[in-house]
Amino acid sequence: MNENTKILLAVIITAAICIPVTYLVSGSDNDEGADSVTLSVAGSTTVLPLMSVYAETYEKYTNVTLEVTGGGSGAGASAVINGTASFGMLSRDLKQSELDAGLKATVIAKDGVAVIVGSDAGVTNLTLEQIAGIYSGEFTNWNQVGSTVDATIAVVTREDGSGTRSCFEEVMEAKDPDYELKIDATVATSTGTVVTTVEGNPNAIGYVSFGALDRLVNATAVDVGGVAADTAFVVDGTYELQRNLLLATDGEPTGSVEKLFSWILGPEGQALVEDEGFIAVK
Amino acid sequence: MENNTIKTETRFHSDKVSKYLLMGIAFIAVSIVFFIILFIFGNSIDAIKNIGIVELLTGTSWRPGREEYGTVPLITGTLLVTIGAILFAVPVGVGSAIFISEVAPKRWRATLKSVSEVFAGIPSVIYGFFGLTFLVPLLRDLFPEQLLFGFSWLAGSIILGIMALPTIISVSEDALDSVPKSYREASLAIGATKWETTVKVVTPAAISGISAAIILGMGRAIGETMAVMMVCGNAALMPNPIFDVFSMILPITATIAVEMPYIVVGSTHYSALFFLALILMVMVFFISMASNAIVKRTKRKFGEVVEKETLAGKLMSKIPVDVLNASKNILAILGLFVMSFLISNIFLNHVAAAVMGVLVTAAIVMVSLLWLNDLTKENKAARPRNPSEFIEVVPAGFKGYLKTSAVYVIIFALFYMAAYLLIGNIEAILVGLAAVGAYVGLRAASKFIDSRKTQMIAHSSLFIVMLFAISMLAVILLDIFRDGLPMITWDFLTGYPTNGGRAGGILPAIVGTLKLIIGAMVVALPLGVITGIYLAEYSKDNSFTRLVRYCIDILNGTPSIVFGLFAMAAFVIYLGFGYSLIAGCLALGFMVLPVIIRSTEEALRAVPNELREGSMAMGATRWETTVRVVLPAAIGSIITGTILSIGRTAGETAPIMFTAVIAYQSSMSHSIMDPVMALPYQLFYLATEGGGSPEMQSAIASVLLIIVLLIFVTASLVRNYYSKKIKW
Repeated sequence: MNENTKILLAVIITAAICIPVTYLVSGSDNDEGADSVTLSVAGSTTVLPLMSVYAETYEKYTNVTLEVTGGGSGAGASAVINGTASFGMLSRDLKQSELDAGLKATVIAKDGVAVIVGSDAGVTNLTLEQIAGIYSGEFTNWNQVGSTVDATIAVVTREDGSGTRSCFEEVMEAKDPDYELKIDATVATSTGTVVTTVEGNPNAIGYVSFGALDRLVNATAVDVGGVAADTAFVVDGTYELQRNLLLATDGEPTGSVEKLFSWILGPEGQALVEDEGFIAVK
Repeated sequence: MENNTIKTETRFHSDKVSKYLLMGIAFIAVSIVFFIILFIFGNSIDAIKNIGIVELLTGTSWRPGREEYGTVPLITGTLLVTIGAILFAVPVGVGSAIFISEVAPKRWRATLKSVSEVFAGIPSVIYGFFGLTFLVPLLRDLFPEQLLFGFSWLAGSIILGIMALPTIISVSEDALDSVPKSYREASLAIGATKWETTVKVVTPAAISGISAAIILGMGRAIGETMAVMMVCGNAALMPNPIFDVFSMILPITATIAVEMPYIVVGSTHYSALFFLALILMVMVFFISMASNAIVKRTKRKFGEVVEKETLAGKLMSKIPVDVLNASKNILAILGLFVMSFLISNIFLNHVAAAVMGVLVTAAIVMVSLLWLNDLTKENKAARPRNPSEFIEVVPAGFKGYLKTSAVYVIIFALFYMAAYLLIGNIEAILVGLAAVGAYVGLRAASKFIDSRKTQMIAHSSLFIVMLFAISMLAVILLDIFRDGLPMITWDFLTGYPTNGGRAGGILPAIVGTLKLIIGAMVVALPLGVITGIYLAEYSKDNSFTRLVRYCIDILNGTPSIVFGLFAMAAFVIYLGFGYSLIAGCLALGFMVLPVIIRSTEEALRAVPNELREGSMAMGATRWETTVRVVLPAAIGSIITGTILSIGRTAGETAPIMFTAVIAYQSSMSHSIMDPVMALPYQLFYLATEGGGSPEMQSAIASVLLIIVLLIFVTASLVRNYYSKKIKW
């Protein structure tokens, strides 16, 4: 093979590699809108399924693309403060430090926190005191909280930054000022992981948002203080473990973000809220 | 005549230019290396100032929500899970290595080695996935009394042990192979059987290399994030008693991964996580130093010319004998303390056991010193100055008793601890005694079996060990492929995800993975190869370049989560890129940069100097020599190193988890400032969330596995092709 042939071959091979690569890197063609907007969203794993549905729906008739990821409510707030997301999802109210940093909340739904237990636990109702006792290590066996089952309770909690955990612990601390989470509770890093863990361990107990209840197969949600885990009881206030689901922005929402929020608070957005198992605010 | 002169001047001119060009580019790479180390150190200063180094290193409670930042449970978690992994992987790994090197027929060697190398490339998230879906439920079914969840130190150590196996097998096998034939022949010549030769001659000769293998395996275990996050339970507690393998633990790497998402820049928690990263790098530092020193000793032992002077090696040889002795003494005392701590911890809590350990160690040391004094009253000069010499001085008969009782104690302790966890206190004592009795019986019985039979038993046992190692890895692959392959259809590979990523196709994830690989290579490959060329061919051997190599070594072993943390702080947050492809590519690129620099440098150093000298002798400039003579000769190894780095990039989750990937996007992203989906993260996300059917999770794992295995097989083929071509 002489020099020219080698050069020709090299050019052909390089082209054969570069052209598909450029195509790959540039993404698909039908999204090339001159004013297409990408909004990045991070935060609560409770709100995540809802926001994913919003992403699929909203993109159909606007030029806005939503990039959604989890990380927990704390991650949502941090992302907005650090400037890495357009807005954050939270399943708790903003803390004072976050408000001081300039964050503004837009409440889009209400949600309850359900306490779920594994298939062998043998309880259908737990009082808040009993739940606090289980999570602080005071009760370690199911037969100490009204079950006929003699088995050690396997306790599942969420990471520090979880909004679901904040809501849960706020209520626990209100019941028992000395409440402190026991040290050998396993830490699950999202709502979905809590569900998987409790599903996989018949003696486990965990807390998840109402929106995750339709994913339960063998695990069940207990009544809390005699009140069933149902949206009706969140609305009338008798179910104590409840919180706001909100979207946080740096200052008041503007532009595409504001339009998106209005749509979410409109009939279509709120209908999707109900579909996902939460409670609409409008 | 005139033409020739001009030509020569131009040639030498371009040589100078290229030298400075190379130096400039190498300077960029070296600056990156230094910058990363300094960035991590700088960001942890806040924690040291606000929390205090004492509280940080001795606090026993890690609860950032309550402003408690004691790292003892985390460091203990890392150490325990690593020790467990080593205890599991060393017998299996070294046994397999001995089998491959000494027992197996020569034709099997190449296949077995390739098989274990390919397994080295399996991404950690796959191991984590296997652990989560197969091992954890299995353990809970096996030990329902001891395990609440199945998440445990035991699960973590088994998975990490499997991950460390390929490293240990490969390096140990190399060590055994490099024992000179003359050793084996001499032993056989005086009538020893093959097995006796293996045990009493070859293995002790290779012990340095095997130690290096173990240490490298440890490094792998210490740095692992994804697998431990998925199977250890993430509870920051100290097992009680300390050897309770059924307890949940939280290693340092998993802590960083769990807490990274919600830290706020500038907060104490933020700085504390960087402090944890610093601790990891310090551990890597010690491991790197230890393995360097051991490798040097091996090379010196067998008379090989030591090609490169590492800083650690120079340090070790310059250390005066006194310091060396002192360190041996310290190690011995530490060993005594650990043994007595372990045994006391059975009956007492951690603090009391520690006190007991100190007392027992002090007592033993004092008695030994007094006895030593007595022994060498006349001849002060012959006084032993370190434990090895001490053992020499002890009267022969007594030495035998010491050794035997030490073995008995260890066997008793191991079986006692296992039985204690499984059965209970009293029965455990009986089990321990029974084990010692069995050992004594075996020793006695073995005197009646002739050496041929012993060899047969030994060889078959090793074969079973090797089979066990392979079958574990086979189980992992089969389990994933069996569930996943049926789901891989054209639609699955080219479709878009639906239902928040839980169903539908995985095209964005595949494309995202490819983009990350390409981007990372763009960042690391030119920079890395050129820096490697500069370091190998142009740089002088002074303390600065040694410092540079040293820092590169440290980054080489640094856990990938540290790169993720760095990239998140520097690019995602500080430079405001947000979650973006480019942040991920930078994280991955910086992660493999040291690897590429190192492998390029080694490849170039392996080219014999005669080639260079021959070329220079004919009048070629340095640049011409490098480009036309040395580089082509080394190109095979460089390509192999590159391909292996590509494999690593494809499978890593930790560096991209908080820099580039998101859980779901309905259409492909366009610019490098947009985040992407990626296969490893998608697998992690769905597996831990329980999203998507188990078949879909296995399908994603299968696709990832196939891509990575293809890359590694390509690397093997390339290496074989070039090793046949190049013969000096």
